[in-house]
Amino acid sequence: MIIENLRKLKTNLGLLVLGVLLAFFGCTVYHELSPAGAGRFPFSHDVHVTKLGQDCESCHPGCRESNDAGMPKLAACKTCHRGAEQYAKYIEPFVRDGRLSLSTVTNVPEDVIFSHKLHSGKGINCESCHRGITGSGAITAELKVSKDDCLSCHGKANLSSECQICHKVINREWAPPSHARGWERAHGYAVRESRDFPSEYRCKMCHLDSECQSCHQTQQPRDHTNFFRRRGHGIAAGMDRRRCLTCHKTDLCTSCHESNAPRTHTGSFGSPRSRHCLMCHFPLSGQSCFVCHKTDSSHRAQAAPIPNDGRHRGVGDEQCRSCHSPYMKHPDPGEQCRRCHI
Amino acid sequence: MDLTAQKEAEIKKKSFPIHGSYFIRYRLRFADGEWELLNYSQLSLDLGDPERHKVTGHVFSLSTSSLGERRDDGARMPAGIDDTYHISREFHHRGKTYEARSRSRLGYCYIDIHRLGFVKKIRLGRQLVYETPEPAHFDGALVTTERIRSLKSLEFTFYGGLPIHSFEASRTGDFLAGLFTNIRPWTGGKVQTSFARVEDELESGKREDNHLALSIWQRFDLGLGLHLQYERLNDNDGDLLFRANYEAPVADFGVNASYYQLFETKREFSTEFDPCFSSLRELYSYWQARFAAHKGWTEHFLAEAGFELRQLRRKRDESTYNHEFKRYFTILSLFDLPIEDLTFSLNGDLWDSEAKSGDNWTIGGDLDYEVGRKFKVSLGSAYSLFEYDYFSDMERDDVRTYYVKLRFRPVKVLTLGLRYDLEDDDFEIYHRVQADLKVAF
Repeated sequence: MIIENLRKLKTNLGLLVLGVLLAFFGCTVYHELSPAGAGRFPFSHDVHVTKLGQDCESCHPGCRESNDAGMPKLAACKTCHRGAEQYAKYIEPFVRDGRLSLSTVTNVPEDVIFSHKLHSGKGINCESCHRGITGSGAITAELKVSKDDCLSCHGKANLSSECQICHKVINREWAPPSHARGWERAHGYAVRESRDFPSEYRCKMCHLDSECQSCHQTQQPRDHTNFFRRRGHGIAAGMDRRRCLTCHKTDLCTSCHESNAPRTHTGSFGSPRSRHCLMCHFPLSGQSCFVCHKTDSSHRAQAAPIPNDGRHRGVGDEQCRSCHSPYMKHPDPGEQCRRCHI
Repeated sequence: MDLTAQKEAEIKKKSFPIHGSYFIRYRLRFADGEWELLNYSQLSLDLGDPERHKVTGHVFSLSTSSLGERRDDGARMPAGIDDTYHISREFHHRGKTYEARSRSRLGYCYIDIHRLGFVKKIRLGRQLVYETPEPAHFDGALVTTERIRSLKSLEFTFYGGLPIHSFEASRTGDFLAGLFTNIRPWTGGKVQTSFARVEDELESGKREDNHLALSIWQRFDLGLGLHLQYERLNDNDGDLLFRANYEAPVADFGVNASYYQLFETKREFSTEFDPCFSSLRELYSYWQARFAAHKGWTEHFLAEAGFELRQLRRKRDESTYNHEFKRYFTILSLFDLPIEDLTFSLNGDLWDSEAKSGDNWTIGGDLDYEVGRKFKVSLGSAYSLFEYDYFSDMERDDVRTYYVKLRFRPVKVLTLGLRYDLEDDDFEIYHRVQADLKVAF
């Protein structure tokens, strides 16, 4: 009991240490990969819009009348913040082509067709899409208007979700560059990533459920040859059964093994003279034969019983060979005779 | 958006789209005077557009029929792992449900009801929940709530019903239910907690298992994705999985690594948590690490290689279905050289087992040539050597395979395929001829 508890404690401690290490690793990598300051622009819409009551167009001129968002020029800030040059060092990293921008939030890909004017003209106010922006203390990636947001709104308005509504180049026939070479082999990672982050639905943007099934149900992995089907799959399952479970989820092994004999089971296999017993016995293995023969007892009767006479009574397994050695066909060390010879 | 696209979009807006595919295959296998002809078909349908329609659906069904065969008494060509039709005379089992010449199976059949206030989706019917660490295939209901934006996009999913075990005759005593939550607490991160309860009536008695899991994902803008997952089954530590994936498309380079550990010996559980136990018995505690990378040079070369290592916690657990091994694999590909649309690839795979049994390696090559996106011809060959140790003496099986495959796509919706395989192993020469037709709409 104490040993068991110690073992559990050791496992839990191991987990804790691993968790801490991974958290540390994660934070470090995150810190290393994020360019300083790039993920957060210290501008408060809360102060400017909610507290000071400024209209969006005060800083984003023409955003309701043009396609783009009218990102502010530095000069726009200076109309109020006169003589505030000390803030320039905080702002300059975010100036692109003379306008303030934060690539992770404000960038609209070249392929995307989007018009602020069109949406504004339909009576959609800014916060319908830019949710939470008026109360925000800084510009962060959470404020980005995602594709999900677009699709969700278009869906509610019963608008088509066809690609060409919002994209110049992308359509259902267009394949991303990643699909070019070796994609058939590599796409599993992308699918898993897509599954792990369902907000993106990257695969499902173009592919339907039926497309996955039409391939995966008709194409086997390349190592599933006829030999594999008949013999090799047992070796593969012995190596890494989790790999099999990628596709085979239910009780497939049992269903097939119950109705199909291994190819070794032909001719005299199973007869008392056959050497088939060696596959399972000497030493006794609870594995290979046990796949099918879980409850067999029939072959017990086939081994000659140990005579109940004075010479045999009380003799242990290890002593059998001292008398029987010259006559025994079994190549075993004679340690488990009584398993069959009862 | 041009006018044509707008018109098309308007038409599609009003319509109720039905997409899907119908696939049919005839397969002839023959070896040593025995032969078998099978017909396999599948129908897959997606009904409606989830973004626009309140109710959508999905159906996927499979059917296999035997069109004839000639077999010896020894059942030398037993049905394989891809078949649903079993005709072997040995170990014939009357209790099975598939003693028929033809067998059909319903993979999925569900309807989705979208956007019902706080409920984002209700799914009713035969379905697969694959978002959780242990997928659940069942007949029942699933409810997903909308994300609560004020609570870091928290969302809940509940599901429950009767599990599907395709090869069981009775579902008495079987039940499953579960709940999982997703939350996105920080940028690029997602945390999932899940709970599932499964009740399964097995030959050995009834199993009632509770499964708990915690998963954390983190994605970074620069192409790095991390995934950590911990599972518990009943009162036992289950397993731990850590995965990292890095992709640099500009450099045409990517790596992925994973680490998996099973903390305690896995014995009999419900089919959902260990479908292999009845055949392969205990899975002893082990850890397994995998590393793979790919790198492309220009538009013409791509190299992929990887390494995998598995170690048992206790060496003495090494047995027929619990092995330690090292695995090495590589694929080298050449694209559009010396002529456009020609692809050549060379692949190798080596399993190096610590025990006497189980070593095997394969080396193969494939050539694909595509003509005008309509016609594609592929041919290839592979050689495999399996080494294992039954009867205390080393057994080696050589397997040589050759194939040629033709694919013709005269119009967008129709694909025709023809394939021939020849396999020469130490037991027999085996042939397979296969003709496919697929209509996608």
